[in-house]
Formats: sequence, C-alpha cells, structure tokens
Amino acid sequence: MEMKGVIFTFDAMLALAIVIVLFSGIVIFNLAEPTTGANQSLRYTNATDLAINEYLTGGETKDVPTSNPNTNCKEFFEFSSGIVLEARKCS
Amino acid sequence: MQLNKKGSFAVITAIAVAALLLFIINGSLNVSQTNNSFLKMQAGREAVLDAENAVRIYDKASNSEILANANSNPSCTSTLSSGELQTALDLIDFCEIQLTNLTQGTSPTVSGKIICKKNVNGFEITEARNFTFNKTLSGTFPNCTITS
Repeated sequence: MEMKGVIFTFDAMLALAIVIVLFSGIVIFNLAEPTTGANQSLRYTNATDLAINEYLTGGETKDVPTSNPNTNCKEFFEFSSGIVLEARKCS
Repeated sequence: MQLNKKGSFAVITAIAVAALLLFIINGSLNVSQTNNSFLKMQAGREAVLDAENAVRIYDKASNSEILANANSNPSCTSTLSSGELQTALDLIDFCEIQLTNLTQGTSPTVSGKIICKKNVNGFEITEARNFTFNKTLSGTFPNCTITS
C-alpha cells in the first residue's frame, strides 16, 4: 500500500513506527533493572559486609542459608580445636 | 534515492532494523561481559577475604600445635619440626599453606605463604600472602602458655 500524505507516505510512517517501537523497547529493557551480575555482586557485598562486621565484633546470630539461588551468603571461620563457623550472613 | 518510489522506505526500514538489531546484539554482549566481570570481581574479593580468614586460622592452629608440643617438654620449649607442623596444618582444608621456616625454643617463629584459589567459569584467581608468626612460650610445665 502506498498513499501519498502531506509529508510521508504510509510506508514511511510504518517504517518510523517500527523504528520508534524497537528503540523504545531497547530503552525500556536497559532502564528496567541492573544486570543479574550487578545485583548478585551487590547482594554478595552486602552479605560480606554484614558477616565481617559480625565476625570482628563477635556477634552470635548466624543466618541459615536458603535454597534461593538469588541469596548470597558469606561465612567466616575461627580455629578452636578445629575450624568452627564464626559468622554467616546472607543477603 | 527517490523516496516517492515504491519500496524506498522498505529499504530504509530494513537498514534501520538491521542497525537496531546490531545495537541489541551489542547490548546483550555487554550485559554478558558485565556479568562475567562482576563474577570475577566477586571471586577476587572472595579469595582475598578467605586469605585474610586463613591467616587467623593458621595462626591459631600453629599456636595449638606448638603449645601441644611445648607441654610435652619440661622446660616449656617447642621442639616441633617444620615437617610435623606442615603435616598438621595440611589437615586444614581451607587454603594451601607452604611453610618456609619454623624455629624451635621458647620463641618459635613460623614463616611461610598462604595461597587461596577461587575458580569462576574456568578463570582462576589466586591470592598469595606471605606471613610470619612470632610466638612466645611461657609458664611452667605442664601448664605452658603461648602468646603471639
């Protein structure tokens, strides 16, 4: 179908519409959320900070690791007649 | 190019779509590369923290071995050999420890290297740390004490 408009033909408008939709899709995709790797790194860093704080200050509560693959845990150990778990934090 | 000719905009659309597809592919590759980089950074941080943790563990384990040996001597001195300590520390499956020197007596010194490794997608990160533990034995047999 080709119809002459004032400036663009329908073909041209269709092409522009496709370009706009695709471009919008890319922008939305990129703005949606940080990458999985970045998210995992943030969770790991958070868990590590909590665990190291607990380890150095002698806290006693230890998080129980879950089967959730999005959960990151960090553990620190101490030696006292063998290796014992000193701190574990999950985020 | 005559834009009023039938099919002209189809060509332009095709070019635009091809360009956008290239952007999408590039974006996907970037995300993959970023994920990989983050994983490597995480592994590096993990190796460093493990090495830091390992230093404390091997320090305490050395204390334990030296003190056990000293408590078997009436004069509270260590006669522990480097080989014996290495054998005892090898039982700790935390990181690898390579002893380079161990002095005996009332002020034993333990020197060596701690090596921690992490593998991520076939990429190995190694953290190696040299250490020297200075110990002092005191007290009277069989209640010797050790400070470091």
